[in-house]
Amino acid sequence: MRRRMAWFSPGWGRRCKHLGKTALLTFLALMLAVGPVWPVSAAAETAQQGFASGGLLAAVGQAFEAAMKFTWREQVAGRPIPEQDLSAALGSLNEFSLAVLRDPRLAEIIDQVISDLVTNEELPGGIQKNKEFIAEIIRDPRLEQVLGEIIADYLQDERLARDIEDFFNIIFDLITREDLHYFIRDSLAALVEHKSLEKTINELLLAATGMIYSAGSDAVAALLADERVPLVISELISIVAGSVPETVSLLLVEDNNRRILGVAEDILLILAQYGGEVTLDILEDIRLRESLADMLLLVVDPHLYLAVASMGTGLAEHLLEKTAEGLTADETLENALGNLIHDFFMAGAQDYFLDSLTELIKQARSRAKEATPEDRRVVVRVGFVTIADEPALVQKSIADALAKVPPQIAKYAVFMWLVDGNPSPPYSQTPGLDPVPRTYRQWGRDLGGLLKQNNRAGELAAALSADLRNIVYGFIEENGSHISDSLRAAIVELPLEEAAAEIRRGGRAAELLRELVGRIIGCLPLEELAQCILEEADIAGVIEELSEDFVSELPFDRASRLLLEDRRLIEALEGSLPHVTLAEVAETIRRDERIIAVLADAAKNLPVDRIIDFIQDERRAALIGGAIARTLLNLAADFVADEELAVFLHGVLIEAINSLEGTPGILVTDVLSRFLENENFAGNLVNSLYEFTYGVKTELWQIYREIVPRFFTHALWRFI
Amino acid sequence: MKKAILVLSIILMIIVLVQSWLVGVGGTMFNDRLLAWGGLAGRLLALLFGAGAVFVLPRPLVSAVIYLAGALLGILFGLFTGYYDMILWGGLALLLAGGSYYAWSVEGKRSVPEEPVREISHF
Repeated sequence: MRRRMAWFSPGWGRRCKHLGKTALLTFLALMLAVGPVWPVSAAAETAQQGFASGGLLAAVGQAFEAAMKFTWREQVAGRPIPEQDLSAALGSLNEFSLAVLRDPRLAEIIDQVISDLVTNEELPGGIQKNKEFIAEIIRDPRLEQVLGEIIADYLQDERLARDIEDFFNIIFDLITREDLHYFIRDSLAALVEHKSLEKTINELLLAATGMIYSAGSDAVAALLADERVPLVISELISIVAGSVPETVSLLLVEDNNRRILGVAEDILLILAQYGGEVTLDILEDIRLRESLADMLLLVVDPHLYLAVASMGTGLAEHLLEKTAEGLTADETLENALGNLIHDFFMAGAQDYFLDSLTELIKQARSRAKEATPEDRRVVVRVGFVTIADEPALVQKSIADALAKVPPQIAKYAVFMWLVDGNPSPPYSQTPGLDPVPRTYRQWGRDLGGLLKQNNRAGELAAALSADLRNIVYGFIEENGSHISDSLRAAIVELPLEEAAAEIRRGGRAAELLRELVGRIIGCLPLEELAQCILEEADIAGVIEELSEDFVSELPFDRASRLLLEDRRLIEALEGSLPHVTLAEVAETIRRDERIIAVLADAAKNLPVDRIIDFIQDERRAALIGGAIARTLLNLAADFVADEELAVFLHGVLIEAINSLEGTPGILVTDVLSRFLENENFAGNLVNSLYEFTYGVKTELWQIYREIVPRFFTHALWRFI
Repeated sequence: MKKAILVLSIILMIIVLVQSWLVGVGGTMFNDRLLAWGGLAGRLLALLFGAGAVFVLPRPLVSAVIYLAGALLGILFGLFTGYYDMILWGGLALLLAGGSYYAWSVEGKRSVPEEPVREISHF
């Protein structure tokens, strides 16, 4: 019992304190240890992830890795590099490097920079300071400026033109060499067939398609949602409706009288001979019977014309009503309007719209041209003679291209998307698409559907009947006596006895009816009636009034929403996109001899003179010189920042200074010049280009292996 | 003795942990699988140093066993992974194991066997 109690004694509390501190430290150590475990597992994962990691950056990284592998000759067991040929080509550039390195200004500025650094009090020995020392020499802005000036001077040197010509001559010769062909071809194929590049291109295609579609559909939807569009269509309808009275008058002119008579006779004959539901209705209608009875009173009633007018208007009203009912009972009206609108558009409206939109595009381009400035000029000079001095017009070109887009989209929207409903099959499946016939008919059918809604057709028929009744009665009141005289004369001449006999026998009813109608209508002053209709009829007003309802119910909102929401078109577009398979391209590159021919042509047509002129322009030479100097020196400074190299170079510099015959600057430049003059330089450079990255990485790995895992062992041995 | 082992263990744990972390990162960076595994083993060894430190005061024998395991781990991985400092750390772990065992044995000898309590009856 006492032993057990000893666990809870005050001495045990101190133990617990120690234990707690130790446990806390251990926990922290555990957190530190668990954290860095990921690199080992990550190494295994990255090898497996491969192409699964998306994104352009990852793909570019993969492509770069592929290029590196190819450079290290791990990926393509192709032909050997034509080292000698490339060496010859690069050899022609040696002059450039030597001219720069031997320039006294370079040696002078290096001397100056080194002396400044050496006299600096903060330059003790040690690895770290060595690194800073060399990097400071290379990053000194004076060195960059002087080197830039030297390169610029050299670029403007006349001898450079010859060097460049020689270089290109060698390159042109190389182009015709088979070995280089195969090398370039294999390089291209190896890079092209990398999977990540293929994935990137396909992703870019998809993304670009989606982006363009979204931009286009947004613009069209905005256009359709614009409240001014229904107003424009209302105006269009008013123009069309305004032409209706003229059409009626055209039907009533003298030339057409005979045809109208024929039509009326045919109608009556059909009614009489064939019957049918409509005709039976008409015949059974009491007003028709009354009208026919009125006709029978022709001979006895002096106010015949009123009866005729009554019969005419009553018959017209009835026929219009029945027509409206008959047309709206099935698809007849939709089909008729569809055909009508299709004919209307195909007869010229389409051309009108296309011309209008083309004009709109012209105006938009003109405005864009005026609104954008000329941004820069391209001047080509040979010596002091200016060969070409033309504006580049980059902004103008962009503005011009942008100005064309909205009207084009509007054109397609008007002709393809105005009315609800997508074509079937989709446009993407109908190459050389012609959406016109189906779409125009669809418009007509939609208008027909609107007419059928809420008995609008009946309202239109009633309005027309009322108008006709008023017009005809007014006309008859004014011309009653004239009509009466004409009719009387006509009726007097009618062979009534024969007619009565024939009717009793039931024989020549058709001929009798035809003659009767012909004589009656022949006496009517139709031309004057047409004139009256033209002057007084408000048919256009009626149509316009009704059309306001139509337009307000046209499915603009639905069409706009459909464009935004309907994914079928974009899906069809994406589906129709070709899947780029770079393996085939790579295979084509390997097999197709035309690529080599293209390379040869490109080389032949390369304007070397222009390139020389371009480079030797004073301002450009300064820019190029500065850029080259900055890039080279920064590259060298980054390279030298490596600790081992810094130590090595520092040692070389110290030895060089100790064994100095000239100044340090001259010594450095001479050493570099001798190195460049070496015959094997170009070949070595070619190899170095291929093995540089591999070598650096391997070297670093060796250094790391030597230092980090053995640090304490080395230190211990040294201490011992 | 035990406190000295505790302090040494904690110092070694920190040193081995930092070095192993660097070794592991380098192995991953240069695609050197052996080096990466060496780094991982080093971090485990650091954990064992910590665990030994936890038990050295109350249970030195347990610490001795932990240090012994760490020593085996360090020497084996040091020989085969290129992380040669692990041999050094394994040797030190072996020394700490010996120290812990010694502390346990000394502690056992010093402890006086408990005498039976005699009960005296006052009656």
